[in-house]
Amino acid sequence: MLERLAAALALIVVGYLVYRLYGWFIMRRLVGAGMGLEGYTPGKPAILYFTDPGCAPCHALQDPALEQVAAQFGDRLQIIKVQALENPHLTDAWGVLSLPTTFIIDTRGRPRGVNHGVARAPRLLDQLRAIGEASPRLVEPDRVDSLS
Amino acid sequence: MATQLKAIDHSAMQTSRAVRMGVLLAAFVVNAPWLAAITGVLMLVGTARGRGDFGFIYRALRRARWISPDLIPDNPEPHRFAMGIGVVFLAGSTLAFLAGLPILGWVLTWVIIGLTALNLFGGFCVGCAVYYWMNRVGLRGFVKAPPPGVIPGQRPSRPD
Repeated sequence: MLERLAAALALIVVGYLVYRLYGWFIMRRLVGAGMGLEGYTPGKPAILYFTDPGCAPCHALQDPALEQVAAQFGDRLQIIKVQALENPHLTDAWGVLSLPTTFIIDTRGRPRGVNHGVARAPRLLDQLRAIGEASPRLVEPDRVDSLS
Repeated sequence: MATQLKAIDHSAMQTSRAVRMGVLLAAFVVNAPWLAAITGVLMLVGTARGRGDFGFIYRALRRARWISPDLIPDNPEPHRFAMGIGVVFLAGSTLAFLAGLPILGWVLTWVIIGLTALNLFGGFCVGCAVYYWMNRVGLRGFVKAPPPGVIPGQRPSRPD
């Protein structure tokens, strides 16, 4: 029975890894393809936001979170909205299984992170920081002085 | 086609998924194919009656006030279809065990464990997505379209 328990645990781990690998594969496939990023300006990070007018959590939670992030970054961040249900080819290409879904895009247009479901402002800010994009308003004033 | 949504108790469905996954995992660990077969029978009864396979456990938990309903506007048909797919897999699994093919039997059981886990933890119902794709291609009998603002197969959210 212990062998079977170990086998079950191994299969659960493999299943989880396959799930993660799927996300990684989607990201790798998208690198350089630029699907849906026609409005993207190189040199600025972006958040690619899959939404729909009928998506309740998008309006209630994701939109305000993105507004918070946008307020911190100003014009240093691009938020590209995609109406998911009107663009099924994009939704399929980006492997979007639920709304809202947000992708973090770096300054070279490469997808670097994904959030399936609502991502709150702190998480989005952390993800932007992780790709080397610090919000200017998060920097301490004396730190700004020392940088200038 | 406009879709008439019904208030579906997603709490009941999540409970059924959690119990189903636990029972199928236990069946594998203790090497009890009959447990998987019983789960298949319960799913068959649930599909026929349009109710959850482990609804009796959910009702007991509700009576004990350990769990509360989570009513969300949704289509019941895709969930029923998805359970039907589960029945087919578990029936195949039972036949494989009876035919002396335990590896095939457990592979089919694990497919259901995986799909149930994806639905339980990832909020994505593969069987429902298949139903909605069939609706998209206009297959007869698949009359319900996804609720507004929901990707086919995605668990809908509570309205504002």
